[in-house]
Amino acid sequence: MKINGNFIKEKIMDECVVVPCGSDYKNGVFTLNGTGEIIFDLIAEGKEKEEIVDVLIKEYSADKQEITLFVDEFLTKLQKVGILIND
Amino acid sequence: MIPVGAELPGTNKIMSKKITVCFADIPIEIESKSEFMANFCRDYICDKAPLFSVCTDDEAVNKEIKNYIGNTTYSYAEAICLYREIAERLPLFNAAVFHGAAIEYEGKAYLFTAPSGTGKSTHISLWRKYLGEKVKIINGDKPIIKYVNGGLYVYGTPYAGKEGWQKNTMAPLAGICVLSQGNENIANKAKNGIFIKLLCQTYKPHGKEAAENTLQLVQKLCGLPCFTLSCDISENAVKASFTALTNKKYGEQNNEN
Repeated sequence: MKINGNFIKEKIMDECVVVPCGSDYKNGVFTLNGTGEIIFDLIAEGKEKEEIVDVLIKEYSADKQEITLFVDEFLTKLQKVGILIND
Repeated sequence: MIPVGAELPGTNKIMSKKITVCFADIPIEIESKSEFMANFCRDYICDKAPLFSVCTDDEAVNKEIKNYIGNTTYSYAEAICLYREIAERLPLFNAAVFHGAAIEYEGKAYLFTAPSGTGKSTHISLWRKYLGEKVKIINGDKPIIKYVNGGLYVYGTPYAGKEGWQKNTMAPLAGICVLSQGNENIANKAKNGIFIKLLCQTYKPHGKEAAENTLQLVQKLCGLPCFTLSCDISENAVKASFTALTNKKYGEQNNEN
């Protein structure tokens, strides 16, 4: 999985926005909260789902099952709007 | 003479008209099928060498007609498509089309923005009503904002909404007010979320460099005094936005006349 290169992420005034350009223009503007931004950046670094889950478990000292469910749900959302695509 | 819009004999090309206009001090060549654009942009025609050219095609125009809410003509739909082509390129010149009503008061521009139908035009007409001729309308719907020499400026364009309030003029931008309908009539300093609010009212181009430039421009807008105002259509609404944006006492402007 990877971030679609037709999306720009910018952190401006404490708001993290993801803006489409190119052929994905139709999808609108998205905002990411702190956790969303961490996951986005990890995907951009080439990390796979299991690595992302491990980072978040350490970050939030949370249960693995709960974090895995959350990450799955978030990745599905990213895929649905075209931000996340297959390699 | 082959009229504009007619097919050139022996070809499948359509006779088109070219004009050069100056939007936000950027000379642009516009090629259109109809004579409409020359009249529509008559206040902006210039004789400078264009920095870029725009045109559109039947497919884009027909799509615009199909998506238009209400009735429209081919000519006006073509005009919208052409402005979209212009809006795509403006960020490369540190400019962007912004959805808002822009006025000038005592040499400074103020922008009022909100989703369509909220009451931007009503609000600036109230400024005119209560503050008189000191209020000059720059554009009632889609002005251009440009970053020039370290400052932000608002420019008039012919794309001025159904009222057609526009003037080929410009002024330094001094403040922005995000409007919503309500009866509080209290302007609050905009805090979290203002970047997204303003970004949603700015034309977002397809090109990556243009999109990045647009984000930077909107970030600069957020550096201006920005307010949110939930208001009705009374004089108190004007008092609230006037006081917040100009930092002057409402009512003293009448003593200055």
